[in-house]
Amino acid sequence: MKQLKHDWNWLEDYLSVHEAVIGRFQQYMITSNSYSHKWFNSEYLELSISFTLRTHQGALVNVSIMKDVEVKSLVPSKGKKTGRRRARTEAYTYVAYRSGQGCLLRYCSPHDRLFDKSSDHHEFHHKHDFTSGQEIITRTGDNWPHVDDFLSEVMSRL
Amino acid sequence: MDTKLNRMNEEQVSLLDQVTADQPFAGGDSAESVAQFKAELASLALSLGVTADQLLRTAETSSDYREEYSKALMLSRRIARFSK
Repeated sequence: MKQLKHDWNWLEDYLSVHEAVIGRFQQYMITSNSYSHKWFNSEYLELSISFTLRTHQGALVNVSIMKDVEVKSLVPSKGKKTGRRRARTEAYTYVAYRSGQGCLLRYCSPHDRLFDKSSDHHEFHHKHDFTSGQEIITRTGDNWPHVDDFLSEVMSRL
Repeated sequence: MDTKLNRMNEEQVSLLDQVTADQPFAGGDSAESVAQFKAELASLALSLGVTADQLLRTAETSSDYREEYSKALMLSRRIARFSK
């Protein structure tokens, strides 16, 4: 069976992969940081991190990543109080921006129609790209980026 | 016993312990969660001197960046999800 790009993972693997990705970009960070974790109920964990990168072209770009992570416990095995937990990203916002220039890129998970009546992009994973000076919105579908993909795009494009 | 669990290294165990211990569950049912998220959104909006609707409109359509915009977008998703 084909593995989905954003499938369930063990919680410990999910967390350590996220830390490892940040570690890989540490050499480009002007301001170092690590993820903040906040449980907002027993099945949802918020991950957030902000930092500044120096891109391959020398630009200083601020990055903000927020994720809501769905966490499910398996039935505890015999003698255990709690079951092992699985995790997957449920919602996210990735933003790259420059001070004084505003947003360059923003990736969003699907959301309710907020105000834009002329577009249905909100129903899908999508990307707001402001780098041309005009906002271009594209649907990313199930191929929406991992944090690694997003940071690589920031490093190479901006 | 799950063999993957046995392969968890010390760093992973430490990270998992830290995430679990440092931030105990806020608890609450869906209705409480929605009320809490709405209150957070209202508070964010108030801090910027606008209404929650105005904040969400700006967060979705503006090319400006503010941390409050990202937070507002995430809160609006949570409110929708937990209201279902």
